[in-house]
Amino acid sequence: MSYEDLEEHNIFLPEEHWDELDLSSSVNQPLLLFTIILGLVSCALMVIGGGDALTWIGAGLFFVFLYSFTWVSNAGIENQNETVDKVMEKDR
Amino acid sequence: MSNTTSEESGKTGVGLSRDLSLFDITMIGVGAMIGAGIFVLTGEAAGVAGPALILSFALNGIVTIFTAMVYAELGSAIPEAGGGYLWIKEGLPGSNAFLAGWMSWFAHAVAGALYALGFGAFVYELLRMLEVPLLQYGIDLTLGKKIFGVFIATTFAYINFRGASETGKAGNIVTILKVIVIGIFCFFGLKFMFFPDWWFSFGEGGGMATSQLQPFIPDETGWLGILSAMGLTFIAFEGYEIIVQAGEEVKEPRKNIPKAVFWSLAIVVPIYMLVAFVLVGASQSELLISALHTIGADVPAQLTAEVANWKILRHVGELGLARAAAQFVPYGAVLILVGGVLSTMSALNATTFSSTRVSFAMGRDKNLPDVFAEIHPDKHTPHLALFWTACLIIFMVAFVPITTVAAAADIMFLLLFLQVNIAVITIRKKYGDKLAYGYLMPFYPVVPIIGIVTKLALALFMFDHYPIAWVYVIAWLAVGFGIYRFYAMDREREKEATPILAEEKTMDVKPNSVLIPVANPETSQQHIDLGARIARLSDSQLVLLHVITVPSQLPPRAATDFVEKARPILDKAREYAEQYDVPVSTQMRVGHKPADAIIHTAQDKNTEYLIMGWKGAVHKKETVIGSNIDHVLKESNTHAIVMQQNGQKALNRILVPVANPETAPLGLAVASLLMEDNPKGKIDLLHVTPDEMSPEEKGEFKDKVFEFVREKEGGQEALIADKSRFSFNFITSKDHEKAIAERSGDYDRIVLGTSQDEFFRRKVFGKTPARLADQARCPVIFVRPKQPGFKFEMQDFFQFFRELEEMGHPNNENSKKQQGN
Repeated sequence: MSYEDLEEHNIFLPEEHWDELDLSSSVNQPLLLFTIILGLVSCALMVIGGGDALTWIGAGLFFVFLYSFTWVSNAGIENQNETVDKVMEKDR
Repeated sequence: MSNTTSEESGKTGVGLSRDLSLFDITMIGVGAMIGAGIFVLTGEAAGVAGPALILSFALNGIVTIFTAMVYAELGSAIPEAGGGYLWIKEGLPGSNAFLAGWMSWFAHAVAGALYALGFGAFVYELLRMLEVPLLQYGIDLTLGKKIFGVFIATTFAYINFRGASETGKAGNIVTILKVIVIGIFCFFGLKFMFFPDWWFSFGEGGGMATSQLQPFIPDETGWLGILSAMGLTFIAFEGYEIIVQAGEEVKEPRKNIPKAVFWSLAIVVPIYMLVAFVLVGASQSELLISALHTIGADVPAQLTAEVANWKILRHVGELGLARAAAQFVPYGAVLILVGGVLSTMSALNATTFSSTRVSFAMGRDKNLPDVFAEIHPDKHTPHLALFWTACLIIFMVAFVPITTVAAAADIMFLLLFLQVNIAVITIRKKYGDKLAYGYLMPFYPVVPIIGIVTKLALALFMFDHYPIAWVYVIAWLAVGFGIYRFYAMDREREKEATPILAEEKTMDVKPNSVLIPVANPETSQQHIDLGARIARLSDSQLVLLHVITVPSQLPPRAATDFVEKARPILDKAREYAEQYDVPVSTQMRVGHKPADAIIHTAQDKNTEYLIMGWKGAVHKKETVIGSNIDHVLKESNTHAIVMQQNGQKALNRILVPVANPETAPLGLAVASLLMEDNPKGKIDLLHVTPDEMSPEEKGEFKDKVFEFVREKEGGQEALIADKSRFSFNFITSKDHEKAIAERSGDYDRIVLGTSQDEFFRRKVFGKTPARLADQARCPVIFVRPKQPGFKFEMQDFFQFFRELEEMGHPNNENSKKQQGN
């Protein structure tokens, strides 16, 4: 697919909206960083625990990390789409 | 989207229908990830990492998340069938995209064949347990796997033919059933480990809690074992590739694709970890060994009841989970075999779907034959791409020793993901300001960089463990590269070519051409003079091209109104050229950018020499000569001559500065031909050195120049009628640019070649000649010799990244100019 193909498939924003959308992420970055750190800490706990309670606490925390990561990311997706919709609504 | 007629292009568009909801698409991802992997690979991976398999899965989850963010971003912005292949096509230069699609198609088909064979094995085992006398009919396990494998591959090809919605529904049911089976396995396993007597008692020796999971990282396996298990099972987590392959069929793709990517991981990673926990935590060595005896497997003498269970699981292979389940789940073996059957079915469904979409996208891009891009009029599915993909899968199931190429498929996936991680960076730089991203990854560009590093590390790790797999990868890539060079590349160019509005061909067609873009017949006369002389001496035809430029908002057919106005321009130029008695053909093309039309004509007409006009100095940071000329020179590997426009026709003195004898012949040929009408005219070669040259050095330099004229550059000696008219001048100066510029005042023209200082810019002459052109006191002619194909392509590759670096942030002005807007 070429640049022209992307144009033809309506992948690009209408030309009047180019530059209107910021390329910074709508995801709450400090919170996401916190979840990633939580994920890494949980893996570290699994290792340190050596099969004892700490390992399973680590495994449990890993699940918390996965769901909190998904939740924070999905919230970012909602925010981002709202922003895009607002820009597109100007045409309506 | 369905089949549509594009008003703008006037062509029938091909599109797929948007049927898949967030739930459907998440289930496709989950179905792909909880595929045969969990049933087939878990036992073997436990044998490699021991209880730390749980950690291997967790770490794979983290590694995967980085590439998942990349897929979520690109999937939300470019939700088209083809996924990774398509983005690589947009984001990376040259043959990268073809090879990515080529690898992706093959890797998904191999995975599909593996799942079909896995299905065959589980069905065979189930029928054996039900005492169906298969052996009486001469059907052993090997043959049975193939028979059932071919059957299921054909069935899912038909289901995929029925449409994405049907595919999604079938897949959803299978995926949900599979999750239920795994849920039952985990539930009874946990009960057996912690509460063996609660509710009812089943199996002996329960209540071991987590004792079998200690030590968590056994000394025998260590971190190497964890990494090996990661490499072995990594591919099971890459279901998001399949999610994005379906991008063109997803409702609200901007929102649903990224969400599905994250949800599928959040569902799958805990399931893998739980299964590993139960498998290693609950299965008992003694019972596993007796199961090995039951199925008649060779049991090594060192495997005793005292050996840790995970060491035995490796030997139980694909039936490991079923054997473990038999110990603590009522009807456990049957249940897991049914689960295995369902898993392999949904994974086969997903890989058939994905593999078909890649080949469909490649067909649409002319990288594969056109039949791959055909959409069924009723079902709106790419039926012929599906047919050929199914043939590939069935062939592998029936005839190929599939396990030997499976590791190669793993490496191909890793290389594909690595390319996608690079593409996300380049796409942001190229198109970032024009795309409606539904998700933008945080911590850019750290995330893709981590993705690149981890994929590369895993691929290299695979080399250490599966060197033969790399041989297969290289062989498959070599075949793909051959197809690209000798088939796909030309078709791709043809597709992207600017339309020809009118063409008059000469009767005397020559294999090569001298191409002259004509905007104004008056100012083009000098170019025609030179071009006709080159054509005569090099036995080529002269091609005169007029380009009608239309704004990007208008379709190319809008240019038809301008054809009649443009025709006299070409007629006049042709009339002038015909005085030279060389074959002349004319062409009128239309394009949004004149450069593209010139490039496409040069490709069509096998142009050896390209002569263009130049208005004068351009002082832009991002261009060397000018954006159009730069673009043509980057894309066309021809002998290129760019002449500064000037009314003066009579030439008496031409200066040819020569820094390197290697680049001198074309400049000398041009000077010689321009002076053809004037036998008394002088051509001075000028060589500037910082230190004085000895007479011997000067003699050597002259000899080298003539040596190159004779031997190099494809016979330009034929263009030089009289070498005796060249006179060599050597001057000493620390500032060679200033020295040349000062001398140029005494001449009618100065001929500048490519500079040696900037290798990657040599396609567009280099900054030194551009600066010289600014300072010169007479009109300038630039010459750039044609280059060996490989060198030209390598420069192209590096040029791509150089441009990206220069473009910087997509919102800046420079970026827009690079896009021609």
